[in-house]
Amino acid sequence: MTINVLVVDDDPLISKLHKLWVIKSGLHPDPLLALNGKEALELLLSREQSTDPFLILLDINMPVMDGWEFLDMLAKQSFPFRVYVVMVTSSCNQADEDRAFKESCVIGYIQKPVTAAVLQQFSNPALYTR
Amino acid sequence: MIEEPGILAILDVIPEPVVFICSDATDYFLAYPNCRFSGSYGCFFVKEEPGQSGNARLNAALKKHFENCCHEMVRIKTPTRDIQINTNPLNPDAGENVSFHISLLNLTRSGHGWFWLKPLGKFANPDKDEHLQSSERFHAAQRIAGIGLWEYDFTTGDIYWSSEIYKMWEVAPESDPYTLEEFLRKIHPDDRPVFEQYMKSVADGSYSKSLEYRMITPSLKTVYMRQELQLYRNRDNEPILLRGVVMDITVHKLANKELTALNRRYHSLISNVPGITYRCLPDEQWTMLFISQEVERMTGYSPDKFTNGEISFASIIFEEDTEADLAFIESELDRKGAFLVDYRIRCADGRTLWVEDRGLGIYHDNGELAYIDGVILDVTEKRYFNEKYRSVFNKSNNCMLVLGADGEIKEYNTSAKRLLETVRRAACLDDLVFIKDNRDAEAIPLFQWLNDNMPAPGIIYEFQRKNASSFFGEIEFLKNIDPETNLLAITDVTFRKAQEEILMNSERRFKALIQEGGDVVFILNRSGRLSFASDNVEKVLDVSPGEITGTSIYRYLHKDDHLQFEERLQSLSDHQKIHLPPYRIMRPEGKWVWFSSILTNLESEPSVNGIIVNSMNITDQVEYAEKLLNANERFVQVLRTSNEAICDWDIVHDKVFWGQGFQEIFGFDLSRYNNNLWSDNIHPDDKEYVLKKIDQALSDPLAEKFFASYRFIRADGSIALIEHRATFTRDESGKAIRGIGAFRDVTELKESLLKLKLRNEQLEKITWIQSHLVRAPLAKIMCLVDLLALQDKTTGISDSEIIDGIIDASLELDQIIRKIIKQSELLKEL
Repeated sequence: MTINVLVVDDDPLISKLHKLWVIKSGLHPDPLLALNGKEALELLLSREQSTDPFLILLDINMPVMDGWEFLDMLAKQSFPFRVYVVMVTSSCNQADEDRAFKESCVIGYIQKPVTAAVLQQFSNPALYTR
Repeated sequence: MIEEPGILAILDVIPEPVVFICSDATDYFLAYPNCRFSGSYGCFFVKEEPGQSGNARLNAALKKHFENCCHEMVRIKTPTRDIQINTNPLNPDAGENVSFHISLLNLTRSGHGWFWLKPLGKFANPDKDEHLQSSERFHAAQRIAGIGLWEYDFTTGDIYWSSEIYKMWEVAPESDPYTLEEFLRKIHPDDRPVFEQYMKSVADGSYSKSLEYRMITPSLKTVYMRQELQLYRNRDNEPILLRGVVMDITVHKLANKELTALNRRYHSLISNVPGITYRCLPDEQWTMLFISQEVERMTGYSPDKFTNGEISFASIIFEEDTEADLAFIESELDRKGAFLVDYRIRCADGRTLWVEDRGLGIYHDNGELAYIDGVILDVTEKRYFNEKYRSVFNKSNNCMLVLGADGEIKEYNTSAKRLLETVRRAACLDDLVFIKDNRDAEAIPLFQWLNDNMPAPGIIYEFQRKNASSFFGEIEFLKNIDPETNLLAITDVTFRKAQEEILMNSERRFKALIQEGGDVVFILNRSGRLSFASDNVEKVLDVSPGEITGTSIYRYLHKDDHLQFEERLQSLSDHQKIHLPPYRIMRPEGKWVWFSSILTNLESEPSVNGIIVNSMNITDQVEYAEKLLNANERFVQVLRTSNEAICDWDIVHDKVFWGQGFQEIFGFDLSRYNNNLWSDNIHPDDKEYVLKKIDQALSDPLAEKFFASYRFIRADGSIALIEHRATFTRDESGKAIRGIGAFRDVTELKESLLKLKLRNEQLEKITWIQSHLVRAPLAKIMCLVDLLALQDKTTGISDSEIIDGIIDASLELDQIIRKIIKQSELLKEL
C-alpha cells in the first residue's frame, strides 16, 4: 500500500520545507502541494480513480479556505480512498488541538517548525488501517 | 280384709307393735300398725283358746283397768304361752275419754305389742277404717307431740324404739337401737354423770320417774329430752321391763332460756332506768302496786313503803303541783293518751326534786282504767339548765326563736323582737320574715326556705321583714331540739356588712390605685426610699420585698437613668400621675431589667403616704425591639448595598408601599408619588410586555414568583436596566392578595458584563494572534534556521532564498507584534 502525501500550506517556502521533510522522513518521495484548503479539496476530487490513502499535512491559517473549513468540506465528501490528516500549524493553542482531534480523520497535530524526525512517526503503515 | 288370726299367732309373727282399739269393755279390736288386719279381741281369744279361761281372765283384767283407769300389769299363763298385759292410762283425768297404752308382752318368747285403746263406749260398731284412722292418729300424735317410746327387756336384753325415737335421735329407721353404752355416749357430757347416777337409781329402785337430759345427735345438734320412766317387775319383784316415754323439749327449753334472758334483760332495764318505774292504781293516793328500787335512791324512801301503804306517793308531791297535774293526767287518760307532767316531790331528807312523769293507762277489756304505768325522772338539773338557757335565750344579742313544727313561733327573745319588729307568739314565721338566696332572687318565706335548705355557717343572707325593710344576718337553725321544736338564731350583721363593704371598697380602691396591672409595685418617698414592694418583686428582681423595703431605689437604678427618675419623682404634684420612660433596675446577678412605670403621688393618702410606682417589666420588649432594630438596620443596609428597591402591594385594597429604594436608587420623591410610580415609569418599549407578563403571573393561582428584566426610567429621565422580582401571597381560592416586589438596578452590572465580554473577546483575539500569527513567522524562521544549519545543498532551496525567507518572516513578526500592542491598548480602554 502506497500512502499519498499532500502538503497544504499557503506559504510557498514553508510548503517546500515541508515537502523536503516529508521526503527526508521517507513518508513519500514526491508529496503533493496545495496552497489552501480549496486547492487541496480539488486535488483530492481529481484523484477519484485512486484507492490509496492520502496523508494530508494541513495548515490551519490559510487564505481562501483555511484548515477548519477544509475539514468541514472533507467530512461532506466521499472518496474511494481514505484520507488521514495531520494538522501542521504554528498555533500553540490547546483549543485548536482539541478541536482538531474532534475530526475523525485527524491522526496528528504538529506545531511548527516541522522536522523530518517528527514526520517519521507517521511512516508506520499501521496508522492507516483504521 | 285379712283373716283374723289369734293374738298369740299375731304375737308370734309380728315384730312391730300392734294396736288394740277398744269400743267398750268387752269388745276389743285389734289393728296392726300397717293396717293388714283388724278384728275383735274376744274373737281372737275364742279362736285361740277354746277353753275361754285365758280370754276371760284377760277380759276381766282389761275391764278392771279400763274402768279403774289404773296402771296394772296382768300376766296370763297357759301351758304354752306366758303373756303379760300392761295397761297405762295416758289421760287418767279425762273421765270416760281416758286412753290407754297397752302393751302385750309374750313372755314365752321375745315379742310384744302395743295397744291403743279408744275411750270406752265410744265405738259401738267400729269398722276397719276407724281402726286404721285410730292407728294413724296414734302415730300422728306421737309425731306431733314429739313423743317417742323405748323399752328395755331385762330378760332378753332386747331394746325397742318407736319410730319417733329414730326421728328424734336422728337414727336411720333401718338401724338397730342404741345399746346402753352407745346411748350413754350420745348424752351430753355435762349430763352423762347425772344420767349414769340415774341409771343406778333405776337399778336399785329409788329412781325418779322423770328426768331431763341433753343428747348430741349425729348431726351434732344438742336436743333436750324429757324422759318418763316406768320399771316393770314380775311377781318375784324382778325387773322385767324398763319403759321410757321420751319427749323432745328442745323448743321449750330454748324458749325458756330466751324467756329467762328476756326477764333478766327486763329486770336489768328496769333497774337501770335512770328513774322510777312504777305501776299504780288510778286513785287519789297513787297507790303503788310496783315501784322500782330507784325510788329509794331518788327520794330516800324504800319501795316497800309505797307498796305496803306505809306512805302514799301522792303525799310526797307538792300540793300546789298535784292539783294541776292531776287534772292534766286525768284528761290525757280519759282519751287513753300518754301523759307527761312535771311536778315537785319532797324527799325523805327534805330536798325538793323536780321530776318528770311519763305514763300511760292500762285498761281492762271493758275500757275501764286498771292501772297507770309510768317512769319518773329526776329533771331538777334539767330545770335548772332550762332556766339558765331561758336566761341566755332572753338576754342574747342574737335574734332567737323557738319554732314549732310548722314554723309557728313558740318563744322569742327581745333581740328577735328588735330585729323582726312585728314578732308575736303563735304567729307563723313565714308571715314575718323572708329570705333572699341571692341578690336577684325572690324573697322566700323563711321557714319554708329552712325546710328545703340547710343554712351554711358564716354565710350572710339578706332578709326582708313583713314591711319590706331588709337586714342581713347569719343563720343557725337547730331542728328538733325537742319534739316538734326547732331553734332559730339569726345574727344581725347588717351594720358589720355595711362596714365591711366600706372597707372592701376602700381596699379595692387602694388595690386599684397601687396596682393597675403592673408587674411590680413600689411605694417610695421623694428621696427614693422604698416603703413597700409587692410580692412579685422577688420573681422579677430576685430580691425579696423584705430585703428591698427600707432601701433606696437608686441603689438598684442604672446610673444613666438616675437623673430622669429623680426629675420625674420631684416633679410630681399631689395626686398627679405621670408616665416614666423606660429605665433599668439591676438584679443581684448584674442583669438589667427594663421597667416602664407610672408614678402616682399619693403622699396625701394616709393609707399610702408615698409615691406609687406601678412598674411593668418590659425587658423582653426592649430586647426584642433592639433585635428588631438591628435586624431592620441590617435589612436596610442590605437593600442599600444590593441596589434594590422594595414595594409592598396590597392587591386587595390596591395600595402600594414604595420602599425608600425608589427614592435612593431611582430618585423618585415618594411623598409625591402614588400607586402608579412603577407602571408609569416602565420604558415604553418594554411596558406592554412587562404588564402583560405580570398580569399573567397574577392570574395564575399557582404562580408564586415573578421575574422580568426590563428598562425603567429613572426620575431624572435616564434609563435603568432593572431586574424585577416579585412574590405573591394568595388567599384560599388562589387569588393574589399581596405582592412584594424587589427592583434591582442592574444597569451598571449589565454594562460591566458587556465590558467584560468585550475584553474577553479582545483577549481571545490577542491570544489568537499570538498563537497563529506570531508563531507562524517565528516557526518559519526557526524552520529556515534549521534548514540553514543543515547546509544541505540538495534541498533545492538556496541559502539566499532561506535568508530572504528569514528576513520576510522577521518583518512579518515585527508587524504582528505591533498589531498586538495596538490590540492591548484597545483592551485598556475596555
